[in-house]
Amino acid sequence: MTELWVVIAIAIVLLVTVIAIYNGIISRANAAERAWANVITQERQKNKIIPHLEDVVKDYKAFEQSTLTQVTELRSALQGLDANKIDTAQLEKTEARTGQLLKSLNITVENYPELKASESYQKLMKEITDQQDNIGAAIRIFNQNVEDFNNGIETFPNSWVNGLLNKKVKIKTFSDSEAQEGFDYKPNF
Amino acid sequence: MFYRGNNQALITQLKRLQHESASVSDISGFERLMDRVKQFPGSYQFHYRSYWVSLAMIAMVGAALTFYDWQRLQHMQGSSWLLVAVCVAALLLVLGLMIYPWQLLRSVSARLLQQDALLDNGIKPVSFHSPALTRELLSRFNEFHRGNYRREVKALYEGRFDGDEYAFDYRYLHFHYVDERIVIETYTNSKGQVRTRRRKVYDHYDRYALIMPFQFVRDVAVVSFANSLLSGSTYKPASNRFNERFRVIAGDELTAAKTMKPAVVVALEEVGELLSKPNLEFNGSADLCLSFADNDMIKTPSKVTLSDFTAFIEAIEGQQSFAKLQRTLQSIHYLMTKLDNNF
Repeated sequence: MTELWVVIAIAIVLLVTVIAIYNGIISRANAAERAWANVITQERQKNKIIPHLEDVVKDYKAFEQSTLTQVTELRSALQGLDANKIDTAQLEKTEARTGQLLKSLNITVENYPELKASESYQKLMKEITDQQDNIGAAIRIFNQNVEDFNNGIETFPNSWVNGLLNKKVKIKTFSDSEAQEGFDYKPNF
Repeated sequence: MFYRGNNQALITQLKRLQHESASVSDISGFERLMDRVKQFPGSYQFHYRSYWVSLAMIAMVGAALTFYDWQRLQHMQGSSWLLVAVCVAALLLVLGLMIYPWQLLRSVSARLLQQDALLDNGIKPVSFHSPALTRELLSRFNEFHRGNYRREVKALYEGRFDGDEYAFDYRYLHFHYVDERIVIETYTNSKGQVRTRRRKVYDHYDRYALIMPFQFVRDVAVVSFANSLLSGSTYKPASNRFNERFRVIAGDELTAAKTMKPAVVVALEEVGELLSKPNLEFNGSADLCLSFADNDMIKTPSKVTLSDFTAFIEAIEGQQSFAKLQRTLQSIHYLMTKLDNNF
């Protein structure tokens, strides 16, 4: 009789452990998805800035020619982002377009000191910097949550529970390929 | 009467420095005090040789007499114990005479270094009436509603931070509170019966806080050290790391969502790494109280004493910085720049 109770107790402990691991994987997956949606929300804030940018530079011909194409490319990259589907490649593309636009903006504005000194331009640049900071932070949070999720499905015994029940696959973290190009070192993983 | 020559002069000098340092409130006063330190004609090294000799002699004479007494009668008697007691008392007296100047030198050195560090960082001690200040803090922030037995402010300082975009005055304070609780103990009385008794136990705690105006946020609290009085809507940002450490409580969820931008969340995660048990309370009057358990925020990092005179003067003449305070104030400034919404 005692042996039966021991077996039942062990079975209950095992069942509770499996349920806890199963739920843990689900909540970490949801947290990664929410962090991704957060990144996309922050990226889409750029749509609010672009009209202000166009407004500020509209009187400067050199700006119009060089930036309009890049603004269009950025808009189309932003449209390609989906809050419901984690796609770090598309995010990488959008961030690259933003980087190119800001780089060319910074170079061209050197020829227009009065524009560079204007209050509206200064405010716009501060807003863009704030937005980039928020996007950077949202990406950092996304990568942290993805790391938690990946650890949650790859470590033992979670890997067993995931293989049998959850069947979730590892999520790729976001990495800045443009920044990586500057390094000779490539990690071997 | 126990100190002579340089030792006596050094103790008089240290006592005078200790007394005069209490009234120093500005840089010129501190410089005058340091002139007095430099003008001391003697050495800041206490000479211990005669005390070591006395210790050795007392020990040897005591041991010899006790041994003689014991050898005579082959057992310890009243006079032997009296001899031992006299020797031990003499040893303790000499040890006390050695420890006192060492302790005085350490405390005066630490006091001077601390005053210099405060002046270097533009921080001034403020006189205050603890019950009145505690009442004021209780009315402004939930953070100070701790301790069911006693609450008091033990120290108050004022300073100013000049950032790239914002400058603000801040107050730093040390808050002490005591919780009273009743414990029930079981014991066995002289008749061998098991009995219970109630005993009051007092637990002492310390919190430290930085208080400053923060005009961009109202009615939001970010809490890592629980406070039962805080109530309102709770909000969870997307970060697992943040949610493991902090709880966000706000007047309404929308305010919390607007405040908890990703850059703010990451900055708060870093504050959580920097400080122990930090709580941020933005009250309804747009003031921020950042409280924490760290007691080293405005403590001089230097440990040098006057006995190493050259190193001590170098430490005083150099710039001492409170690294943790600076990083904390920079984090608060960063939060201001991320929450100013001026576009």
